[in-house]
Amino acid sequence: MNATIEQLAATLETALGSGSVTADASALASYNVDGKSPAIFCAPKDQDEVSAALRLCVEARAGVIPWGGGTAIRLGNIPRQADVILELKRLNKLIEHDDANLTASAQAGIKVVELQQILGQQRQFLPVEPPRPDLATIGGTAAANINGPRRMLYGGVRDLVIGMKVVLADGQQIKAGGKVVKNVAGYDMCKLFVGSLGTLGVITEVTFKMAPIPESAATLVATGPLSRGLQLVDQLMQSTLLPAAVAVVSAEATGVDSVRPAVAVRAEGFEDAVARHLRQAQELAGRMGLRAEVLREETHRSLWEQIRDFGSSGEAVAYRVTVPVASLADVVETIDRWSRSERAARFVAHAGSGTVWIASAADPAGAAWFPRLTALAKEQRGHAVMVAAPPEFKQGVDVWGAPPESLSIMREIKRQFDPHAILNPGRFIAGL
Amino acid sequence: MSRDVLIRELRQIVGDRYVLTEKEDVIVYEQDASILQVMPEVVVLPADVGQVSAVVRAARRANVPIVPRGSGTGLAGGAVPAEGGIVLCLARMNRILEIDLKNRVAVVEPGVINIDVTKAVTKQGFFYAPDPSSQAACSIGGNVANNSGGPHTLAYGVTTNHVLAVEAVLDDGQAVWLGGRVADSPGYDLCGLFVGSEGTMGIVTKAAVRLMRTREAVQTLLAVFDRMEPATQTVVDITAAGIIPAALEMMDQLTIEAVEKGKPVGYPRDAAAVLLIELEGVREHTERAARLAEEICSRNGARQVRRAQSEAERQLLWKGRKEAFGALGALAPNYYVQDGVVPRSRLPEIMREVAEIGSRYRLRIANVFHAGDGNLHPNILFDMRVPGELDRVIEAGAAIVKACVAAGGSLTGEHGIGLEKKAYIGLLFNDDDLEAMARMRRAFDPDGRFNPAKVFPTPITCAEMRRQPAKIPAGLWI
Amino acid sequence: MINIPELDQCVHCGLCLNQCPTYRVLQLEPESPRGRIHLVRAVTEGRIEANERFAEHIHLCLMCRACESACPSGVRYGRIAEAARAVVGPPGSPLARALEGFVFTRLLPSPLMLRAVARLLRLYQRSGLQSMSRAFLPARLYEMTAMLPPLPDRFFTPQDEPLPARGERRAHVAMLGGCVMSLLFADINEATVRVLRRNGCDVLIPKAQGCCGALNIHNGETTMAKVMARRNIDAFLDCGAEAVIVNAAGCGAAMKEYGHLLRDDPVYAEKAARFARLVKDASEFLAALGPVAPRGRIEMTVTYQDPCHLAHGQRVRAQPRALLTAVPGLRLIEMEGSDRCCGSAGIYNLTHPEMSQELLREKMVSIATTSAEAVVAPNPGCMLQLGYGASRYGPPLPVFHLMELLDRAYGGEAPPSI
Repeated sequence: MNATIEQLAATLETALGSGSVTADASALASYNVDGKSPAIFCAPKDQDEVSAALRLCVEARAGVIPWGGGTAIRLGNIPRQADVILELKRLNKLIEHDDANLTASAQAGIKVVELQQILGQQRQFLPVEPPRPDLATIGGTAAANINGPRRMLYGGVRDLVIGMKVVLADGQQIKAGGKVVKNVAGYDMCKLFVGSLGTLGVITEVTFKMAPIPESAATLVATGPLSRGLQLVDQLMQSTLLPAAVAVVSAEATGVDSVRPAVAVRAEGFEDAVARHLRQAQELAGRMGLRAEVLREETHRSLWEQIRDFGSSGEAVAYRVTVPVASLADVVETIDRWSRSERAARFVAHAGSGTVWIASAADPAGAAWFPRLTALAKEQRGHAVMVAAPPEFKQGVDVWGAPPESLSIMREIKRQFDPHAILNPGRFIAGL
Repeated sequence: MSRDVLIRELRQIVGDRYVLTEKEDVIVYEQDASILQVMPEVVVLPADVGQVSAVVRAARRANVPIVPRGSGTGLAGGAVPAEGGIVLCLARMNRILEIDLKNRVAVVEPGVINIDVTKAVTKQGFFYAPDPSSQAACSIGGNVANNSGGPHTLAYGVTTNHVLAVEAVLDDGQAVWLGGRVADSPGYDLCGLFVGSEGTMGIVTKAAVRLMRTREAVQTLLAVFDRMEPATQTVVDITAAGIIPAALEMMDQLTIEAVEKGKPVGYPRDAAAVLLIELEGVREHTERAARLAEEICSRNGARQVRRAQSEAERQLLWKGRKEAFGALGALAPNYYVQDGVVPRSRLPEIMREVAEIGSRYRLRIANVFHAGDGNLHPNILFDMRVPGELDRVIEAGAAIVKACVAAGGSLTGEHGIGLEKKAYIGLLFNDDDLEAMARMRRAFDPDGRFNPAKVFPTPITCAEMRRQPAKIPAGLWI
Repeated sequence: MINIPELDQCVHCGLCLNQCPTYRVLQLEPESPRGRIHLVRAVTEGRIEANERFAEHIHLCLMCRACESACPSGVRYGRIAEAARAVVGPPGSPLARALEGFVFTRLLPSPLMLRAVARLLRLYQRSGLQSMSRAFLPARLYEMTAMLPPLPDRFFTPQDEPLPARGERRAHVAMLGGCVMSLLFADINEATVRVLRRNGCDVLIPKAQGCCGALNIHNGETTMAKVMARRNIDAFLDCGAEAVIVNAAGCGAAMKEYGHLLRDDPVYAEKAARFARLVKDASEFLAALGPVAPRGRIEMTVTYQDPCHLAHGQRVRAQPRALLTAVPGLRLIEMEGSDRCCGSAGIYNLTHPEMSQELLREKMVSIATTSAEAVVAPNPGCMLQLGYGASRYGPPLPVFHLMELLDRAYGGEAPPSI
């Protein structure tokens, strides 16, 4: 930084008003980032104020941590510099819900649960399900690319975001995409910001595609030996069924079963189609010798909430391994083997995207998971990410794994958008 | 480096046969499926990624622009070499390199024809979802460059939703994979950025595309309307009812006339509009969705709702739609197609406005479009040889584009900005927005070597590049 | 008169590209229909010369018209290409051009001279000269003669007496003998006559007929072609037949275009248009008439090659297949790209042997993949080319004309009495 904390706090206060800025350490105690405590907190009320704040921060060369609901703040490398928390909670308005067009635009700081309530009034919903939607914000979900279990039917964040407003590091306010579902005017800049973890700009508004709330939804849960459960998944994937989600959960990962692993198959849509999915999945499960049970209403909802929130609340360490879908069974079996023979961990695997979430305790043995998962993922041409861990686990490793061959382009993009590296400095891959 | 030296180098790289310099050869590369023309200096057709790299390096040494070209089916002049230089045609790189059905991925070269990807996996029960109307001709490389759509993108998404990774030769001649074959590759989404960049960031040399499982059942409906208004209202109502068809297409009376005049498929010629509604999924879903869609059509006063009873009938209904653009040649010597998008909720009013623009400029406009996406394709029919007509066409086109943007939409849903619409991009994005895009461009291609003068607004107008009215010397043809 | 309205119909969409055999092989736009149309347009606009290079592009085209099947705007590419060929003249070296000139303007128009040449050829084949000639003929010329099948003992001769229908009389038709068909495939012409008669047709084969002129037209020679067209119109138009039956796809396609060829002829324009409407491919006619069910079994698996000028030129695809599959015991297996040119294309296999052989090799691979026992191709050019392909590249299977198989299924020369 080339200004003192006091100087920066003062200029920010002038720009944003005294109520929006504080340098009081006690107020900042809950805004810890990988063991670093920023000295200034500011909460701009609109995009112009975000822009003003960033302009001041770039002048001061202050490290800025954009903050939504804080649910994904553990994702990323330890920041090189963390001076200012830029909280977006005050940008919490729904801008537009065009229900006939199945699109909605909202400010970045709106909580996912609030947005879903508003959309629900028109029998629509945002098919993105971050953990802890009571805390998570739309902007944070987009920036951290948090995908939910139903991705295999509805697509991921990158598929559903069609427009954005963003403030770049130097305060420049830009718009990307638009409000229509199909749009190839100019570069697809939304892709740049989805998943960039706030290292290129601060998202202030997001436009999403919506989905109609299905007429019916239910889940088939099949419990039994893991290998048979994985066979069931394989059969489902080969069939012409179109489940909304297929998850493999280890014992204790959810409240389903404390002893045996389970496969959860979620179907939604027209009543007849849901019935067909349940029937066929049940039949397949029976053939595999699995014990199958249909969940509806509350039990159905609660299961998927547990799956959604897995690894996010109170977990000490969480990893994510992503591999080609056909390799998922091998990876899950290996993880399960390790978990039973060496270091205990629980997991949830999403069959549609080839993603396995692993949660373990924060003891030294837990740290040993990362190199092993990284090697396992690499073997299968995938990757492993340390999603959440105490700072000491992150020392000396890149939580994102080895950089891709295109790293030089990524560096150049970072240099173009944030030349002074003030946005989440060092948190992204290879210290970007 | 002199031109001769460059050409000698190029010949050494790809062989004599695939470096074209004679006027009677290169002239055919002056145009794509748009009406814009600029003559390339040289056309090169490499056979593999190594040759592409070498060509890019040679062009860099000679300080010459490179314009990538696939099958030349683009409608926005994207493959027209606006500033001359090398046209790098990727048609020869047309191998399907890998098909991995277990992981639902195919790795293909850029010159592979879109429909050939689906053909390669049909028997095994898979398909490649983006299906532009030109799918029998357009290449995957071109689809990547333009983020192409198609009728079935309503349910399945456009090209960017189906490309997992691309290998691209960048400005230094290096081939680099962008993106990854599994989900959520750490780092910036370079593949997502590259798709739709219209050849301005590098040359695609391979693409890993997603294959989808063929749906168990399909229902195709043809709804016939005596007026346009209820047809557009039906589109709004179907979406609002929570049915997401695989495709929801509209053709107006003039388009029907063109199709039936060319290769008839049995659309009623006196209808004001027909809707083609396709529903895919498990049997129980399509059955119910088709019934609902039929109800909505009838409620809006459809004269007739016909359900295809066989695969042959379904193919026939689609054939008319797929060939509609080309069929317009039967109505007028030239057409100029717009590609504006509006929120679906604004369809009824925008269609009124398009009709009004047609009569204001005294031009016939045939509409055939992806109604479910709100993606219009007003085709302005004209004759280039009629003095002054082209100018009116351009003005009418601009009026349509402006109306779409004013309705909260976009300039282009799937054809791209190219040369054609770059003067209009300012309607949608201000200088700051465009400057951010320019930063992206600089990160990939600091010298602006790839496909210069595209996408971004520049002072050059398209008027200079439009094809001149035919000058036919007397006595030449019997 | 300068008018190629077809040029303006092309909207440059590119849907023809991958249907074009030469584009598929070379992937070069100037060797595609859209490219060639662009070139012709550029010549008409005075932007390029109709020079040697232009002529090469125009001549590399097979004139298979697959692009017309693909074209959604209904561009009549064949007409554009024929007009362009009329400007640049026939392909090849000066010597070849002179030879072609002789063939087009002297040999083909004269049935007598054709017959004389055929007799000489037959003598050459039978005297043992052919087998000896390998030693002294240049390789290409030898290959050319080797492509010919053995010439039959007797040629097919037109006669003015109608041959009566067998069984119930359902139609009165006239038939084109055709130059190549009459000389090389006389037996197929005879088979065609028997099939027609068996289907209740009186068949007339007017003596005054001659070669249809297709080769002339395709190579841009229109002066003599018009003479030949007028002769055939005179021979057929007023003979009282309901249809003029053709069993050679190339001839049929050309004759259906007589109206276009003679559109500016003050005397013949109307007659030509009327004549063109009478022309029917044998399969097209039989399918429309409703064929008598054949009773003879042919236990055979065949694959069907669409002659370009039948599928693309005349849009006749379903009828031959329907007739084939109606034969008891006969199984049809479709090959990949059955409507892609085999590379014969009139005299193309002589003028462009390299491209022609490339296409033939691919074709034989497609045929082999079906594991059919025989190929059916109702056109003499295709039959010669595929026969050559079978012996040169394999698989070594026989090539039949559709009418041969039908005739066999109907009982052949000595059918059981009805």
